[in-house]
Amino acid sequence: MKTFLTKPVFIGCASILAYSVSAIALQSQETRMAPSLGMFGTTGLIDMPTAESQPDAELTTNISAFSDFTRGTFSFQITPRLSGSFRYAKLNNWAVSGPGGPFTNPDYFDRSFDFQYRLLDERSYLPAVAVGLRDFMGTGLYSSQYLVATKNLGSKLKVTGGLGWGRLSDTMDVTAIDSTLGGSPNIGSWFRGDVGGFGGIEWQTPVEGLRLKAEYSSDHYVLENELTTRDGQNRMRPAASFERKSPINLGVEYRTKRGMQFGAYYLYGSEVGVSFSTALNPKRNNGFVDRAPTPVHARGSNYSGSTDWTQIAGIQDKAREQLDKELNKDKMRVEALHFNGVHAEVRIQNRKYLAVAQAVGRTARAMAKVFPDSVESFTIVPVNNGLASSAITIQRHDLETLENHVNGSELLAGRVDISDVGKLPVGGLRPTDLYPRFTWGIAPYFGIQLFDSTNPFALSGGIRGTAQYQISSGLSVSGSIAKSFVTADKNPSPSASGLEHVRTDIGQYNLHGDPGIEKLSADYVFKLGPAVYGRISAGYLERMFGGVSTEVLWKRADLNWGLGAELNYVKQREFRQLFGFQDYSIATGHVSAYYETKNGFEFQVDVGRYLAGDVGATFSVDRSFDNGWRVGAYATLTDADSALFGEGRFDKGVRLEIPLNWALGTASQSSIKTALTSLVRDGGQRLTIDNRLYETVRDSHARKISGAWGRIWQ
Amino acid sequence: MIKQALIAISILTLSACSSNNAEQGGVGSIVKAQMKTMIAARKVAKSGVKPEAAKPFTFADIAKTKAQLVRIEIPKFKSSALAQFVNDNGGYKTYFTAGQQSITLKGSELTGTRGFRHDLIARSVGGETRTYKYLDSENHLRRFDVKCETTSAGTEDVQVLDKTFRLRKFEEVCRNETKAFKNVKWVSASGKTRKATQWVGHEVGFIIIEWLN
Repeated sequence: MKTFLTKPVFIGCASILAYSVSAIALQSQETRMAPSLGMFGTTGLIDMPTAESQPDAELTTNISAFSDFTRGTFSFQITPRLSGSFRYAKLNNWAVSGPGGPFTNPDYFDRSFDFQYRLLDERSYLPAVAVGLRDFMGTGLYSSQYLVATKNLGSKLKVTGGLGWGRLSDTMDVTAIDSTLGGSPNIGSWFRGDVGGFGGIEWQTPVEGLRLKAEYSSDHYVLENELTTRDGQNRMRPAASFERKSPINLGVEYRTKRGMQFGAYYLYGSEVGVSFSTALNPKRNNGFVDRAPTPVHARGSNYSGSTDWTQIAGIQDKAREQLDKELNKDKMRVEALHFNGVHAEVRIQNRKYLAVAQAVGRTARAMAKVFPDSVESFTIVPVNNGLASSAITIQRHDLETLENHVNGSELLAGRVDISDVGKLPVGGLRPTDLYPRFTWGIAPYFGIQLFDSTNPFALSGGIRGTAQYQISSGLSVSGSIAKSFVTADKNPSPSASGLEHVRTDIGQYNLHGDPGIEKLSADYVFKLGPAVYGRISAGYLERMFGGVSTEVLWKRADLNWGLGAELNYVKQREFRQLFGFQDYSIATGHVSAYYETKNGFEFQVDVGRYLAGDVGATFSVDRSFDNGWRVGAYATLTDADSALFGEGRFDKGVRLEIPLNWALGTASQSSIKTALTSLVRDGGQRLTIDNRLYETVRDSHARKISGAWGRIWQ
Repeated sequence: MIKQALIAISILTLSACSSNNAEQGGVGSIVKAQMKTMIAARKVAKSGVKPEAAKPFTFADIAKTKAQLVRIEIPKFKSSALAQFVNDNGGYKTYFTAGQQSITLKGSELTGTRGFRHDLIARSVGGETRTYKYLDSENHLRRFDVKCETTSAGTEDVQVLDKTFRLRKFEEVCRNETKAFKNVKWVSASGKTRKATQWVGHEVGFIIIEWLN
């Protein structure tokens, strides 16, 4: 029963308002209301979407709850027009009948993915228009599609009107998608069947940050209300969670200056709901504090071009000593050095700066301070884990004349040369005191396991000891031992996976391998040519597998693409995580292609055989920011039988990497990495290797260096 | 809130024991420095003794040193420091503070800062239109253009350290569509700039520079 505003009247009002030419609209260009998040954690009214987009690269996390439903949603504004969301919903008392009869009051956990694309920008007389897919894969509990328009009327009022399909069709004829689809896109149902209208308004109150919302919802919550769904899934509701008395929802929201949003809602004439959101954005300026760099020591106008100094006894050691002293101020070291009277090349270890350009700039300044006037050009080679990754050559004259030029960064960028690097020239100096080198560390660790179908949130943590013995540049032995104090699952049930249990026995490893040797391996990285890199690893490579891993990568420093191949022979480790193995062994490997776009997107395709013997490909896309942030998603499709694979049908997930210098405000190469995977299954699983070649060298290649080139003078 | 959580995670993770302080980044040192500061502050508070105020710096002190010094002050951060000349690259003079921050001046014009978190990367000198360059959060350069006009504003008594100078005052108003600010310069009869207030950027605001010798 509709309470105070009938559907046609409400939709009509919203649509007319959204599409109408308004005198007020002419005033609204500069002072539009910021977009807010709705109960689905996406840009919207309350339950209904709007056509707006969040600011580019905005990362939002939203938790909302009403009746028996709790939703957690992670959203990312992938491009200025395209947004993507991953949602995890918990539905209490969602009875599921099986062979043994209905279970009593089981909670149901549902994962869903959304996309929205803004087709048209808002103009003086036209609204913004967007198309969206909500829950477009899998069981489709929230499956709906929509076309929506939103228009600001002045700076305080915003109206939205839209058309919806699926759950948003404003009918009672809604079914969840066939569950046998699992994690596959439910394309066949998109924009099909009945279509319904929805709409609403937002009003910015005179109180800063406080806004009111009202909407007409075209979602009848059929699946949550009916005793039996019509999809033949044997899913039954023992009792309706709530009574949808009205299509009208009302809300009040408060947004703090720091981007947190609190919302309270009166929903469907019978329920009260709440929501909380928070936002991060890699593009929001943070900056970090670091010591000022040494200024460029410029040569006078009548500097000496004499190269007699090269004949001084022990000049190499002296030059290295002075250069090392300068670089040490910024936690860098000289890995190798070669020079003559007019040119100098230094290979550096950089343990401080995430932006290679900054390390290059500081090294160039140190070289200008140390080398006599006759040296006209400097080549700086970043060495990452023993791999000389690129050669950046700067003319000393440019360094001197552009340091204080208002366009100095841009001009210098056009004059440096970034190329591949070969062997150190004959006569070069490799300091003998760098290796062997032993390092160790003891640190707490923690983990959060999210979105498991039976335990959606679990904490684990303990202490981990790590050690590395660096025998020479590129050759090392390293290992880690961990002891847990908090275990996510104290009584893990055996894996029921129909595939080889390459990952789903994680609970057994946690139970029996505590403390355990997580990793103990020897690694050798080397170069087969200026643009060809190699790696051989042997030992206990990761928690679940040991053996031999080999890899080769072709990646030119000046190109934005590369090719790689990996071949491994591994055997499954015993649950105790000591030195024994189980019977299962496999040869696994992939060929990989890497491609970076100019606007910061990185694509990777890996084709090959996975740990369970399944064959297929992994597709990854990451938005990589020039300050070290990365937000990405991946999906692995293999020939593993979907029935054997289990819930989820294929491996997929989203991942996030946040540089610590952003969080801490001080220079650091470290970052926080986290991943939201749908479910851990045995299909589509690769060996976990933490020093794969592409990740090792890419930051020292032209695309990444020029991306953060602004830091050259920092 | 997320940022605070990340900081907590970072400190928890990185304040661990290690053979390699360099690789543990600045976190360990930050934690240690903060703890030292907190402990020292608590000791002072417990002792009931007020810390002795620093002795004012005078021109007599300046006369004892051969170093070229300027005094800089950032009103927005309520901080000040002495900075010493360290380098001249084609007339661009760089001064360093003991806290490892630097400013670069072309004549009396500020053209760059380093170590300020939000630095002025470069600035054009001369001409009616002036360009400021900054780094954004993505390490990309951003330019900010203003048009400036200088006018004489009479003479004023200006105190620098323990001396008062009678100086000519020049005001420079810079503006564009979104921003307007005023730089002020006090110049002696001989043409030497003794003091200046100059806009650094949106985050830092203004810097006051006093030339001490």
